Amino acid sequence: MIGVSVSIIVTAVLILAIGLTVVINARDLIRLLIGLELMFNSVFLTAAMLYAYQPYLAFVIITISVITSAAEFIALITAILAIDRVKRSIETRGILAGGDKP
Amino acid sequence: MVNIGLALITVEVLVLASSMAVLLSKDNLYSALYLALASGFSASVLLMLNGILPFVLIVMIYIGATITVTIILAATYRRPVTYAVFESKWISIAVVIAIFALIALKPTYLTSVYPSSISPVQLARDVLSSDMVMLLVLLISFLSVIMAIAVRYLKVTQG
Repeated sequence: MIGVSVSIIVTAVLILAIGLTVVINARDLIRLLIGLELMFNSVFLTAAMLYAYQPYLAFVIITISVITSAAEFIALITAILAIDRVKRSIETRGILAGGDKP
Repeated sequence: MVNIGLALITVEVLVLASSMAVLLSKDNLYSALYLALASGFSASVLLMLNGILPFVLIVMIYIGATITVTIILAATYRRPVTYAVFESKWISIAVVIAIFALIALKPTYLTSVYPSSISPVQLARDVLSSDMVMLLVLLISFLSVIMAIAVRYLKVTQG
């Protein structure tokens, strides 16, 4: 059982790394959003490993993660739509700290 | 009881392959579709461990709502975008690392894994008879407030 748990954690870490690579290489905000959602998958995988030992705790963690991620992505999608309206572009290179021009 | 060790490893490989497809796909729409696939495989790990309630939660809210909106957004803003292509040597190194990882994880294929013994009905009863209900109400209120702020923000930027 321990060996399979380790393999799930290794998979979760690899998915986190792949998601981080997607975010770092993102040229537009949609790609950035996809990378962040991929990183959330590693959270679900880790919680799945926990479910084998502590089902109740894992269910609470998954519930909090799902609702929090939904709220987070609503805010991000709203920000993407607003940025597109203001800048007429969703490319990340046009967005600096705070969205201001230097 | 059925040993699910090999099935779990297979699903993990499928999750990793879908995630790599998200990374390597140049089109955002296909990336979003591969993301839905990867999320479905991640959720199916829970299903194998007899976690029907968290599986339904992830599939209905995370995949059914959040990722669907992302797919629609990717389809709306679909345009030809050039991305830096990974050099073949990095892919070769990744394949070699994956092969060594599979060899190192070989003992785990032989480990016996069995689904969780707790039933969905028992889990739902435990959750609904605890403080978790209050937490759920607070989280849904939080989500509603975020949605209201998002709608208000979009109205402000529209003008």
